[in-house]
Amino acid sequence: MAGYVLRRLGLSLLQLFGLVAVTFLLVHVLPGDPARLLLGPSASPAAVQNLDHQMGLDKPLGAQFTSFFGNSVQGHFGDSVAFGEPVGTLLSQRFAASALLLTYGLLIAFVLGIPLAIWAAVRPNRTADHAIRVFTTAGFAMPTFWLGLMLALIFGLQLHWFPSSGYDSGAGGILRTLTLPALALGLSLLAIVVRTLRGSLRAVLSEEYIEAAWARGLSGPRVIGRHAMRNAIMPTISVLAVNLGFLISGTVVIEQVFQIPGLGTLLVGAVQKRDYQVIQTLTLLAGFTVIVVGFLADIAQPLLDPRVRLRAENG
Amino acid sequence: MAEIALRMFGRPTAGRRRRRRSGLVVAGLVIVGAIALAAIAAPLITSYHPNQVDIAHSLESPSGAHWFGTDDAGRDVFTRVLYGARLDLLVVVLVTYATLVIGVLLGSISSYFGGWPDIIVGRVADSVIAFPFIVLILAVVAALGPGLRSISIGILVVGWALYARLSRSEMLAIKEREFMLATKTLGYSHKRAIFRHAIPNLIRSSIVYSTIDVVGNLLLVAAMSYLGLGQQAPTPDLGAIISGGQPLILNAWWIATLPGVVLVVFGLGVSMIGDGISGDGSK
Amino acid sequence: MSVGLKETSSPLLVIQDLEISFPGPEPSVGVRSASLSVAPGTITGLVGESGSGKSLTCRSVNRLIPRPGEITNGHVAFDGRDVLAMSKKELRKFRATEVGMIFQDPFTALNPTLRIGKQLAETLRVNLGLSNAEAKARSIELLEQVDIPEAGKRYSSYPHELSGGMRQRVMIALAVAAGPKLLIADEATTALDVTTQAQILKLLLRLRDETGMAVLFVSHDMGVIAQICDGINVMYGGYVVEAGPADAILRSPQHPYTRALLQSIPSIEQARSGQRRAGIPGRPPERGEKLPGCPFVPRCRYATEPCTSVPMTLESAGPAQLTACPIKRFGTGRATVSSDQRQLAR
Repeated sequence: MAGYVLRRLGLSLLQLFGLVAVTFLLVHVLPGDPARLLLGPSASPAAVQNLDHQMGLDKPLGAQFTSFFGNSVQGHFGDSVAFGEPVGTLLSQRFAASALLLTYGLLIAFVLGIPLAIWAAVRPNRTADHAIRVFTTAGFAMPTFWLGLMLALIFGLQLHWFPSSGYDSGAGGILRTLTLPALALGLSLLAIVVRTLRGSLRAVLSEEYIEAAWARGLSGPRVIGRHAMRNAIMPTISVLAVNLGFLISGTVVIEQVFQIPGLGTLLVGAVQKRDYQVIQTLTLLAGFTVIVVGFLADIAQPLLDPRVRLRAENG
Repeated sequence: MAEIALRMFGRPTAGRRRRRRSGLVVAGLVIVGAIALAAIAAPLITSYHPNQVDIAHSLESPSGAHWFGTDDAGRDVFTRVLYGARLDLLVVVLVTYATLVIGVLLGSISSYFGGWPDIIVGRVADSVIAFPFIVLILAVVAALGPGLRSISIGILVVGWALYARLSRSEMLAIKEREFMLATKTLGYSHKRAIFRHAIPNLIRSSIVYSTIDVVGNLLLVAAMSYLGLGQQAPTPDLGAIISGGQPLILNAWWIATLPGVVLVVFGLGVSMIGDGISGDGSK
Repeated sequence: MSVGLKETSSPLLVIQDLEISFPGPEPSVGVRSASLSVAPGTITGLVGESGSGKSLTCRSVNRLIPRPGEITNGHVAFDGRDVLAMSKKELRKFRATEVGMIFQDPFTALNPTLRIGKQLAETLRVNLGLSNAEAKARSIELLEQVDIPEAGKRYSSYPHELSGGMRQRVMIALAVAAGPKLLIADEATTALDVTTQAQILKLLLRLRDETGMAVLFVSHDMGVIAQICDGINVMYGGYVVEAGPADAILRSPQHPYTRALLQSIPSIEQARSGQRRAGIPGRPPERGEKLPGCPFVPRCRYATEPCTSVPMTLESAGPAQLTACPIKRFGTGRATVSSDQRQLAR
């Protein structure tokens, strides 16, 4: 088992290295000099050269990469030119909002998705199954930002149940300000959750050990909730880990719709202002999150499924 | 995004559900076709110009004269939506199928020959797929400036990966099948084996997925233009129309709402086609 | 042990004129008419080829017929009660405490993500109301009862850590945990090698002797059926075509299909003498095929025209023996076969 974990860890570290390399290259394969772009076309050559030197852009590429790598590992992300603060500070200020929104959205997707998936799996091809499929596909096919906007319009501006923008911390504040955005996020994710779970439940429900459980007179909730779900939930979790990227993309857009001061709005603002420090750092952060979650999901598999554990221990 | 779709639409199936499925495909094609045609034939359908300003008739709700109403400058929203959709649809379709070609070629060729290059291609594809799409596109747009060109380049950089992964795994499965081994015994060149024999067999799931990919990319373009990074003014763009309508949403809900409805209907139509071709997961 | 001794007590299970069909775009009938009975404490066999309807028939007892199949006619009475009329709640209790079922594939019949002890204890807790501690103790006892070595340690094992034979035993333990009056064994030994098969059969016999549990043993293997059953029912094409005490059936089968089945049992003498085993020419009917009269006609050596127009019902063909063969019942075909015809068939 330890060997499996170590190998997986090695792979993740390799991916991290690749991530840092690509992010670094991103800025340096761009046309134009970052310093000049920042200062504008009317700046004097001396000023550009100055900023170049300040940002370390006049050193050879290899040296630049080493210092970039070193800085990233230590968490020194430099200063944001556009926002006037160290990037690290900006991150820590805005991290909570985004993380909470993401988690809340995921929660909604599961809380809604699991019962819907079970319902569709237990009565396949009946009206409910079809309706659920259409409903979730619609949620997937619509632009997330538009969905958020519609929710804000109906539940925020017209019904006044929730504010249509802004963010408050604290338990009550979160529930008030993040519910609509999380709902938009969760609904767009709902399709994946329901389809995947329904699929694996259908497969599990036709297995013999489920028939055996019915034959023992076990009740519906027990057979499905305990016996079937244990086997059906794993593929859903691994699919979700892979789709974290989709979730993060959704968060960025939703934050913009609801004007939530999180990492998403930070990124958009940085793009509009051409602030490469921030963009680079956020790209690194996003990639890092995905790699870590991927690693955790891979480790979780043997923990949850004893058959995978056997293979992990032996191979 | 890709994994989702694959989980949703699964593998193509045969069977007696054909009738219902082809009905689905037809319905989907009708919807998609109607919207696409309308966008292409925009000048023929609407008599307004997308930037035709008419302050006297600003913020009018949908009516016979203005199907989607007018915005704050009196411009006909329906016209703007059609013209905006035009370029978007064209570009998205082109780019999506370009990524399909790149991805299928890369994936099937590397898997056919196997070895280290194949492993690298696989790992890179996996990493690209897992990465948040929007973050990458935003970075590319930041570098190259806003507009459809940058977004297209961004999609090209990222979009090939899922087709590559699909083709890789399909090629892996096909490689050992008799008809492929036969090409070896018959002394066919690798080129012939890959292009004439393998690819026609493994391309089906990629084509099914491409329908969803088109929708996904269209939504991406819309999201980018919502953020102000898509087609720049004065060219109308769906996302920009919506974001323009956001502050006015209480007085003039139609500006922000209706373009989105068009996108949703389009998306549903495409997913119907995808469902129909592949045989959805009803078991 | 002959059935005759138990004949005086009323049967535990009675299935009468059972019909199971599958509605839908291509409707078909899985069981056309099946009648059988199981006396308490006996091992009753139900033998037939795949597609004969035997699995469906045995599943009518605990009403586990796979969708979209449904029982469209007939009665099923267990201990005098009407099984088909039971409510969902009664049915659950019925399945929990009175009828048990074991399946063919030991590799898929146990939940792979739960330890076997937990699966056993669950049944005991939920169906018999035992406490956690009692359930654990009783589970270990059950494992010992089915000859699982080191039962205490095995309690915490996962199914994939056990061999096929052991898994089958655990499945049996699970099924008999609540002390059912009837155990339905659907091809329970088919997927096992011969040695393990023998062990499981011995176990079933022992359980029957120790607890008085009856067994409905379903199989396509006449050889296995002949080994342990007290009574035998033969199914073909959706009908029960013959029924009776085991020794009677084995000695003088009344239906040509039964006869053919018996001839196909491999024996050492046959192997030594180099004779080819008599297979049954032709193929069994498809599920949707509608065959008038006796479904065995296309493959039957003795059949003649009238066999196809006679309704299939079981009638007496000797003391305690029943047959649905039209020839026996109505004398519609050649009653005897000349010896040269018998030789032709070899």
